[in-house]
Amino acid sequence: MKILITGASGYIGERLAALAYKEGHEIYAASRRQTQSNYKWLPFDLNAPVLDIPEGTRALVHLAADTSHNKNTSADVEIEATKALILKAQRSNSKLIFISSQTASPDAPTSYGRTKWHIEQDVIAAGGVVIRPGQVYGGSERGLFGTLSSLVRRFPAIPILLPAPLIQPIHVDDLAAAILTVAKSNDLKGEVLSLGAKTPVSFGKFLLYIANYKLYQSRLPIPIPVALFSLISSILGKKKTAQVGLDRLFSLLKLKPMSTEDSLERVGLTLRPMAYGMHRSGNGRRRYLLVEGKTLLTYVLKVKPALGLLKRYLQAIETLGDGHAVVNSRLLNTFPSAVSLVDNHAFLRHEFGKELSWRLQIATNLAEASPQGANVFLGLRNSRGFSRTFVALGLTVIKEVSWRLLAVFINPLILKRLLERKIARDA
Amino acid sequence: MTPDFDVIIVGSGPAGTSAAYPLVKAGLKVLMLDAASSARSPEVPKGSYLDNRANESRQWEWMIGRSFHALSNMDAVSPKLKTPTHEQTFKKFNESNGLITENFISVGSLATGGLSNAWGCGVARFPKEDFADLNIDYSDFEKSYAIVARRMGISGNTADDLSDYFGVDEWAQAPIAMDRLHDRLLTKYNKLPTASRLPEFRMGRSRVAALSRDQGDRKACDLSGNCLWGCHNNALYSAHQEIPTLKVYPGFTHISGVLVDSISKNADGWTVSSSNSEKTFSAKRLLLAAGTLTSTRLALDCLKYTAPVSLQASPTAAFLLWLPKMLGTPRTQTLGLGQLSFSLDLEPGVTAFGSTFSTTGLPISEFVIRTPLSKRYSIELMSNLLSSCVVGNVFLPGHLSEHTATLMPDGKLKIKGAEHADTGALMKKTETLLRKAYWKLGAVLMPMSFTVGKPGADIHYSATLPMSSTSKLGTTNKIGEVNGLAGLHVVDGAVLPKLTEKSHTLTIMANADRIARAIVCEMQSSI
Repeated sequence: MKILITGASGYIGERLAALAYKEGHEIYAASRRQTQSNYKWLPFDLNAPVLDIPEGTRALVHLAADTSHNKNTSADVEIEATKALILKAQRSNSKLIFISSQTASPDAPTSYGRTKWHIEQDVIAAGGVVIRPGQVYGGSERGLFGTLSSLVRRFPAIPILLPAPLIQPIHVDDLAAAILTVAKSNDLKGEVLSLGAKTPVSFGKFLLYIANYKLYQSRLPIPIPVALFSLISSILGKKKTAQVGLDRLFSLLKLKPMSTEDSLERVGLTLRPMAYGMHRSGNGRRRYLLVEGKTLLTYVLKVKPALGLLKRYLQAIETLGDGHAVVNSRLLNTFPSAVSLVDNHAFLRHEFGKELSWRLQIATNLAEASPQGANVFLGLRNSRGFSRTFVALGLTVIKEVSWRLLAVFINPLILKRLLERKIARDA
Repeated sequence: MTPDFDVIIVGSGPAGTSAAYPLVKAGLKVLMLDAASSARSPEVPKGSYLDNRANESRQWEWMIGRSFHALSNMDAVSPKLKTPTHEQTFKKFNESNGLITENFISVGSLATGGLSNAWGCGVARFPKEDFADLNIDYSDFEKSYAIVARRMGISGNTADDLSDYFGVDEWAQAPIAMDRLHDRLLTKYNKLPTASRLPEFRMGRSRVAALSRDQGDRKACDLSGNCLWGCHNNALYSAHQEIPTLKVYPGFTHISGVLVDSISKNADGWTVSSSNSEKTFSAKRLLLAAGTLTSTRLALDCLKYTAPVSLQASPTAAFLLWLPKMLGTPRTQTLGLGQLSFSLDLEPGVTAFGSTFSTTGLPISEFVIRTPLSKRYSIELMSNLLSSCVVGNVFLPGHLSEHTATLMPDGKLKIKGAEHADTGALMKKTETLLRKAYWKLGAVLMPMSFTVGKPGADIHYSATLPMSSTSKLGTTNKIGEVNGLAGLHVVDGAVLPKLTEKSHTLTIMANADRIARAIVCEMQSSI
């Protein structure tokens, strides 16, 4: 299938082109510069939208947009460029897919949002498909996601805005998959699809996810009233506000949540959990399970588990359990011996402790069935006579009692937090 | 229509194979059926257990299993039920045989060789009194005991306090070597003056169906310590070892993969049918040796007998003994079966029987999950403590259970577990007496370790269709023939008149042999 992508070197375009290419499609990348030799390059500029659509092109994905807000390109130019594309697409009988924005609305506060809305109307009228993605994240640090990632990396604190703006994140690869589905489909036409997390998350939480699951950094959440930013903005003036990206923040604040459930169903898409999407690979599930396995096996064995053993843990939880990590605490992962804090009957009998209890048993059984385990469980290297064994027994009891006491002094709610499933299953 | 066979035997376990010998030796045409699947178990470990554990990176294949068998069965009552090498032994027994349970653990086997693929190998003779009122010639029974005991190969022959209790020494090889802990226990016991012994407690070597001398193709125990996981020497008896020998007889046919789900009587004899293999076979006589629960279901279904029948099982418990003086003993590999046994008089007519085992060949996780410490320190504790501990089990007589088996309208057998009113108190007494008895031997019965098993956990199901001198419906005559169904004999644990505390497998086998010899006489005289 031939697919023409405008903005193929952009944040989304790059992932879409890569995905489509991997599936064996023929890619025409329309952009200002040639970037990838695997694709056929068609010179294209929004300001001078001259484009010859190759014969037999199935879909034209229009991603090129001027997102800078700095009016390098006027709204009219964008609308005209799109109109030209619509005409060409109709003539060559290819489906136009326009990637719009959640802000698109006839009465949007920014010209960006209004422009998008106008273009949308033309696309739908021509039988094309409009996709409104929520906050795109994941992959390389580009677009707004890139800006936010570098901000989180640079600052030790994360602003928790009050009132909290709500966003509906979608992983860039999930979005790319959705676009490709639309391109291939015969049924999806003349409609708007809103794609993003079904339940909006607060902007602050999104930033914390970037910190925890992408950068593996602790960041202090600091509540900040939005009014403060309004003040800064008025001091900086409009141009500076736009330069530091504050204007995007204001447009975020005005976003109304989209209903995405029907659209996700139309394209048959289940979004990956945000914690997994933040991982460099875009799929953190196995990584987190391996981290959990390493923590529990190290806790049991007191030495780093052999790779084979770790893999068996992964396989066992994938085969017998749900395949997702439950131990998700940096404290426990850094100090596996601290699992002692939660490995007691009082804690594990609770509903939230049951899964951990089961996994501890799995880890114990698996750990034993290994040469490392044979030493630890059978005490093969112990053979140290009566008195030294007696002392060792005493020490064991002392260590157990110490951990128990520590667990008593620590608030059980904190312990519970160590185990809370931080990775939502249906983002 | 002439039947295809003289005799069909349903089941290839200890009972079925023991019944088969007299029949095939008499030249009868015998068909043996079992429901074994063709799925293969992982290979049993070769070489010594401790070497394998210390060095073999693939030990998880027989300890856990490629499909994580041990992990899917973490709640099972016995480590055997978790062992991947035994997975095929126990698999699908209940669902295939239409068994439903309530407060009862039901374990059985569809495999060739049945439960003897994974048994504790305990052997004992039931004395004459256990068959009183039956009008059985006990010398005939003794003859059968001798035949099966010699064939299976048993060991443990010693003149000790349990010689008479076991009653099998005349057929037994010398005992297999004990480990240091058991050595010490027995030395202490023997040194103790009779006056200072606990009068209720007698101890001696365990008599087990494991070879201390080579016998036929089977090799003597080499103490490699793999008993739980599977013996590469075949030193432990399993009925599946009988099949090649039986096949030498021209009249013998064995077919696997046939799950018999109904039996019916017709003019010329008996027909069995199997819906899983869509096969039917007919014979003049039918012998049920499918395991007590399955044989009971088939017989009751044929009788259309829907009243509850009594099911005996031994109340059982397990405990941990610590020998403080032996703290720090290095691990050495040893026999995984019972090394020492005891009998304990609880009250007139009630005796408990049990054995003690080395902890070396067992998964230590079994102990870790029962320790009220965190996993990390349980493991640390056990790695230091267990080399000076032995584990014990104990069985009480089956009359202390009030389980029932009832044929349901849909043809399923419902097993309902219920303890006898006295059992709880007797178990307490058992614990107290054992604690005292072992204390005198320098061993501590560990606090909180005495754990009573759930009903059925002993897997000694018996006496559902007891042999009886009356002709009451729901019983069998002295050759296991179901009253009201001529030509249908039950030859497994179901026909034992009662279950005592002793290991009952040898008796089931001897009884099957005795019945089969009687059947041969009947069939030959009718020609």
